[in-house]
Amino acid sequence: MPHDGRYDDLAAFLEARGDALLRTAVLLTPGREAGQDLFQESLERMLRKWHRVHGDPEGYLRRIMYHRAVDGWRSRRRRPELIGLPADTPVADHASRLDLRLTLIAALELLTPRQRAAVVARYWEQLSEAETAAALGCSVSAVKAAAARGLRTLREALSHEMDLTPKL
Amino acid sequence: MSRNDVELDSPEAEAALRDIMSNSVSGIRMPPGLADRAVGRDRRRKARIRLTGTVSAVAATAAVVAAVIVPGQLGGRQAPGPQAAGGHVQTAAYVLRQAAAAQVDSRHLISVNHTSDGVTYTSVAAQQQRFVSSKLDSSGQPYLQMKTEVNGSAYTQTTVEYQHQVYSTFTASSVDHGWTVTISPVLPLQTDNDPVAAFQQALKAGTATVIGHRSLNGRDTILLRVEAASNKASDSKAAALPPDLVWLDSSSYLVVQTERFDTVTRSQVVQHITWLSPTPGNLALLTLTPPAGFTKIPDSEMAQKYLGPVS
Repeated sequence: MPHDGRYDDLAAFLEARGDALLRTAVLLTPGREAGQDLFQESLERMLRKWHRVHGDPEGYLRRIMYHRAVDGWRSRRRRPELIGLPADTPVADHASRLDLRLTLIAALELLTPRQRAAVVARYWEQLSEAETAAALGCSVSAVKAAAARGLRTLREALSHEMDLTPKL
Repeated sequence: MSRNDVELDSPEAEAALRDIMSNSVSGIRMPPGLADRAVGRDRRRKARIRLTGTVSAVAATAAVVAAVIVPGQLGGRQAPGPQAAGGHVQTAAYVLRQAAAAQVDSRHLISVNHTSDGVTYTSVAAQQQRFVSSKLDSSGQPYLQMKTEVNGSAYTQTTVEYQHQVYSTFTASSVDHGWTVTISPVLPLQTDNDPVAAFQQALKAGTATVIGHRSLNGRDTILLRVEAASNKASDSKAAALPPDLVWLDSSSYLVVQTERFDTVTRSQVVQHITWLSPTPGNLALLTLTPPAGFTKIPDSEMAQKYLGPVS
């Protein structure tokens, strides 16, 4: 990070929250590379207004990421994924995590962009319906519907991975 | 309460889904340099906006390119050549193209190669190289230092041996049996006239392969495998040499480690490489001046009497 003082707050913010937000970006897109692209693009968009982002850079960055994921991302041409996956985890752990990641990617691909964003916001980030609505720029009822439909689709796709059937 | 409400309010379903998501992304960390790239692109965008109001688009583009190669920003600089960050497609062809372009553009930089034998500083642009042996003499000095320089048609090698306080200078033509001797970059295939085309050809021929991302000392790298050049020869009697392995920094595409088979010692040699901008202080790393009081001896005597212990 350049040391001219203007980006000191950014460095501290990314140190604290960068990994978590990048993981969110990966879940919002069709893979790790696309997630990194989404995260970096969103970061760059936030930097354009950095001098005006007071107090809540995380909320600002999250809103950009979700808006891009819902409105902009899927309209792009699908990109080939990077060959291989990063070997940043122990080998024994890597294969099972890779299987799980691929299964989840395939399941999330079944959702519409808004359903996917709603599911990630509600069940990964644990945002409230109101916070999710603010991040997505839609109504609370729209969040409820999108999350419910998304969850139903995921439950069918992931049923063999884990029991997602609610205990009624 | 609707069925949707029941599903969304189920703690078990939420927890189960969160576990799946958490497990699937738990290994993901922000790659080094990502924030630097974003900040760099933001700065260049702002510079472009400032420039386009007053100068032509061509001049603005030149200014942006200049901003990319400003010395002292190597830690977070963009890959030289075509824009690499954002909007890229990281196919094997893309990675090799970026690697070749980065190496071409890095010729003005100083590579610092660490091996078990010592440290080598190389500037391809200046055609200068200095080697400092890791073996020390009894006074704690490097056992020897060696400076190689190609200046036009002149090839000069200066060797300083500290234990016996002697040095030698060897001068010859840089043209050896019709071949011009040059100081080459680190990456294989870089001595070709067009390294980018050479890599494309190697990719098609299957002699260059992108293995994938690898973490190297906590750094995100891309691992390449390049078949040894001699394996392409038609001499089927010669045993095939092991391939070169090359680790590229995933953001700058510069080589950060190589593993190659040394045909002289018949062993694998690992080089750890860092890059320096050509500041006056860094360029001084390429110089070698024999200390006052050292005795100049013929190069043949240096080779026969003094270089044995480190060869």
